Amino acid sequence: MVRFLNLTLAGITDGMIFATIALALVMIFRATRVINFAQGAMMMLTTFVGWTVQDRTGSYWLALGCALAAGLVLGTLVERVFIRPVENGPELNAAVVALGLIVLINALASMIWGSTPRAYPVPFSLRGYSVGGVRLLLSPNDLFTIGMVAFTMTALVLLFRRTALGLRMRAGAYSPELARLLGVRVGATLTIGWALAGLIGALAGVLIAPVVFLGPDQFDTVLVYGFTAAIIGGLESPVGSVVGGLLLGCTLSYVSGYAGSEVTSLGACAVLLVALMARPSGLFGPATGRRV
Amino acid sequence: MKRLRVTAARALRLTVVRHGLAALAGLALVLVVSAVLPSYRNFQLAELSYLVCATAGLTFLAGPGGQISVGQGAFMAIGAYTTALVINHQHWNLAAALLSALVVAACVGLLLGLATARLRGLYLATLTLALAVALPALVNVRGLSGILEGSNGLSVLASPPPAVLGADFSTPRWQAWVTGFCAVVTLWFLANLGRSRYGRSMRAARDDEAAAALSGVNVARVRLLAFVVAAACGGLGGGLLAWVTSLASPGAFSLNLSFGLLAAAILGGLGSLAGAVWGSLLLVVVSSVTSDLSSGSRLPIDVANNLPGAVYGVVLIVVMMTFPGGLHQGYRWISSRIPALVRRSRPPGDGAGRGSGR
Amino acid sequence: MLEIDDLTVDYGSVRALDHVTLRAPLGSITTVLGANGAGKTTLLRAVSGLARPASGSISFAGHRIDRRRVEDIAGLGIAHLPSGQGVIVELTVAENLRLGSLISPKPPAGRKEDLDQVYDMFPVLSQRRRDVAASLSGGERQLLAIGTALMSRPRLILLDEPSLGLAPRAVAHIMAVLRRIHEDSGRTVLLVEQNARSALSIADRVVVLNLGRVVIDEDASALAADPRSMQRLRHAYLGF
Ligand SMILES: Nc1ncnc2c1ncn2[C@@H]1O[C@H](COP(=O)(O)OP(=O)(O)OP(=O)(O)O)[C@@H](O)[C@H]1O
Ligand SMILES: [Mg+2]
Repeated sequence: MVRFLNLTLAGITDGMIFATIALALVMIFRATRVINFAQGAMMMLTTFVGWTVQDRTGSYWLALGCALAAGLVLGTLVERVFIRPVENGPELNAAVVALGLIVLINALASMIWGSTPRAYPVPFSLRGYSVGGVRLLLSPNDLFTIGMVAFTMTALVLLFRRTALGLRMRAGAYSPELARLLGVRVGATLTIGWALAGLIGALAGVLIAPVVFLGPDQFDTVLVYGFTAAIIGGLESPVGSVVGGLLLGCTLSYVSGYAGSEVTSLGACAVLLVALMARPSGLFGPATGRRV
Repeated sequence: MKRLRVTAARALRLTVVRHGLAALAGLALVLVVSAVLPSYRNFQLAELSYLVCATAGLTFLAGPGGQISVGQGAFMAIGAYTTALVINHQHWNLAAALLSALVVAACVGLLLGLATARLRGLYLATLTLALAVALPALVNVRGLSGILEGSNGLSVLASPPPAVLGADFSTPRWQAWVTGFCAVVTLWFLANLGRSRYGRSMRAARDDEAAAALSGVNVARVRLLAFVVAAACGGLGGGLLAWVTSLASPGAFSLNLSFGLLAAAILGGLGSLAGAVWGSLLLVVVSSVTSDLSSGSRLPIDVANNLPGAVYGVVLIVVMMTFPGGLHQGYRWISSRIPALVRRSRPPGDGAGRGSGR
Repeated sequence: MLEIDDLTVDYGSVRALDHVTLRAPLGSITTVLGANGAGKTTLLRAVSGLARPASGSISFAGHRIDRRRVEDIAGLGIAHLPSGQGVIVELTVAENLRLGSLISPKPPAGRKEDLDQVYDMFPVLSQRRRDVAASLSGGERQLLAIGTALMSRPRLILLDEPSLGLAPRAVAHIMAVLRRIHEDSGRTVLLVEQNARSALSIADRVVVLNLGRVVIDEDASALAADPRSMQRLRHAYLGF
């Protein structure tokens, strides 16, 4: 029973991070109908920025701030320089540009930082709390992770529901032409969407780096989990990505706890397959599948 | 004489004949090129050929089939491990091993295709992506790591060129022959399949599912067929890879490979099989040229090792921005402009050049 | 107010508008009539910047607006209601209306009054304010689109076939609403219609397009009084 509880706790922490990545993907997909394969590479780059700052100054918080800022800048840059020019072409072209970005960013990161994975520090203790003599798989650092993600999600929901900018962004995503007729600068709102996705991805990178280490290829698996969470959630809904992330996080935690960590990624495959067989366009997706 | 020419012209219009001739020309090209190139380049020719097999499968899946897979690397892995196992343990000959790679990959594709029959577009793409990550991880699973030798991978017993070719026939050249032959046959097969009744049904199902179903196309079945064919192509490509590199290891089938194959297919142009060749060619040529360049220079090792990647990334992006329809479309665009340019540069009234070239 | 001179718009090789000149004076209702494919929609799209003119000019309140961005043109006080889908169906009624008001840098107090006015004018929107626009009927959506346009306090309203697909009573309601908006605030209206009878009932001026050209440009009352013009109008519509 304790073991189950512990696995659940660990699953929730991981799931929150998957949900964050999923959220970044969903934001971009909703706004531009682009699947951002490069999200993992972008995360990796911003986390390296954080790592470098941490290395120079020794301050976790300064590093976090710099990584987040780098995420904003990188998101903006990617949308403006790389995605905008192919936006009106066939839909898959943006995907290839994203694939090109992966290769490019990976190569650049390996040039600058080498390809050996590096450790990334944590701000709080990793020692689990103990309740009545039982040690839980929940540490102050896990609480920090969960808190950061919950805070970000709340901020996003408030942004979208309560602010004029959020309303404009949603209008631009749903119906670009009508939004423009109502004076919304859709080009700008798309860029802001990418910038925010870059920021969210940067946060996910800093939170996951202590677990999987930091290297050019280190985030591949996590990215795939983020994708899986987004797809389970239906690709369109931020709430869906949180539910998808938590569902995936817990399942993977049980799989690796009871069946061994080698089969974790197969477990992800299985969760995805089962979820999609039940609902071919995700749990919160549109009623009918959408073509690529 | 004239009748003969008319008959020949009519035969050329027949698709089967045209594809057959193109395949023969392709085989001849492989023979000539492999004879001209030095040994090391022959290895790259073999590399190009097995990539063409896998990419052509994707092109076919995405073209007539209208589906996107990000997991072609997984099927290559299946093919590679199958080849390695039957060569090492059963001592099968090469043809049988490659055939088994193809069949096993096709069977897995069939199972997966049945399970995902209702999935479309991005949902299918992501599932294949998850598979591409999950499958190579299998080698470390307890029961299997003994047979598959974990992350180190299986080394494949080398098979020397047949004795009839002479004692000093180089191995890379033999490999280029075999892989080139397989690539040409794959392209030939896919081209004919695309032109066949099945190909037409697939296109109909892709363009308008409901309309296709109403006109009697079994949409689920043709979709499945496209998926299985693509998986088989991936399996064959993987089997060839294992044979050429003498190794089947999880590292060879990273996410980067799957991404690279998809990029090659889209980059070449999804509509045409020629695009698969262009895309794979770009993949091989860019990395080979830049690594030649960087190995000669005095750059730091990290930079030199990653220069090919950086250049390839830039090339992918730039090509997509300049030719939104893919490389093959770009090639057609250029080749359709050249005659016009030539004509324009010639003084008017000089029409003699036109007929004589035939 | 709106001055269109010698406007030509091409879609590839198709000429949709051919040297069109027309005026919509301040405070008038001008209706643009014409058969299918006459170029009416294209005319409105050119004014709001969605279609790029090949030649000619468009001026609004003394400023050249051809070649300006769609968003900027909207910001000048031109509200364009495209035919059929004038609302963002994923957003709620209240959100659509709020989006309309975001265009003008008015203080929130002004917004509140505008909103009350719109809800007064269209009580059905007030009842459904929390529902997504997708759940509204066609006629209700049309009212919402007009309400959203009003929230932006436009100086010129471009309407593309507001009667499309509506029952006669709904059409009469919409026309009455337009008349009222016009009388209350003297806004300039450019109304594209297939339904000539109802459009003529409220218009001050009538422009008829045929194959991209202006074939009639007259006062509505004069047109109605002149049988020869009515004949030409029928000709433009029916081809005889
Ligand atoms: N996007 C487009 N691409 C090519 N041709 C177009 C396009 N939009 C309109 N056209 C052509 O331009 C001409 C004018 O079209 P427009 O939509 O302005 O007509 P309309 O008067 O609004 O017709 P309707 O009453 O049917 O709405 C038509 O011949 C149409 O086929
Ligand atoms: Mg129209």
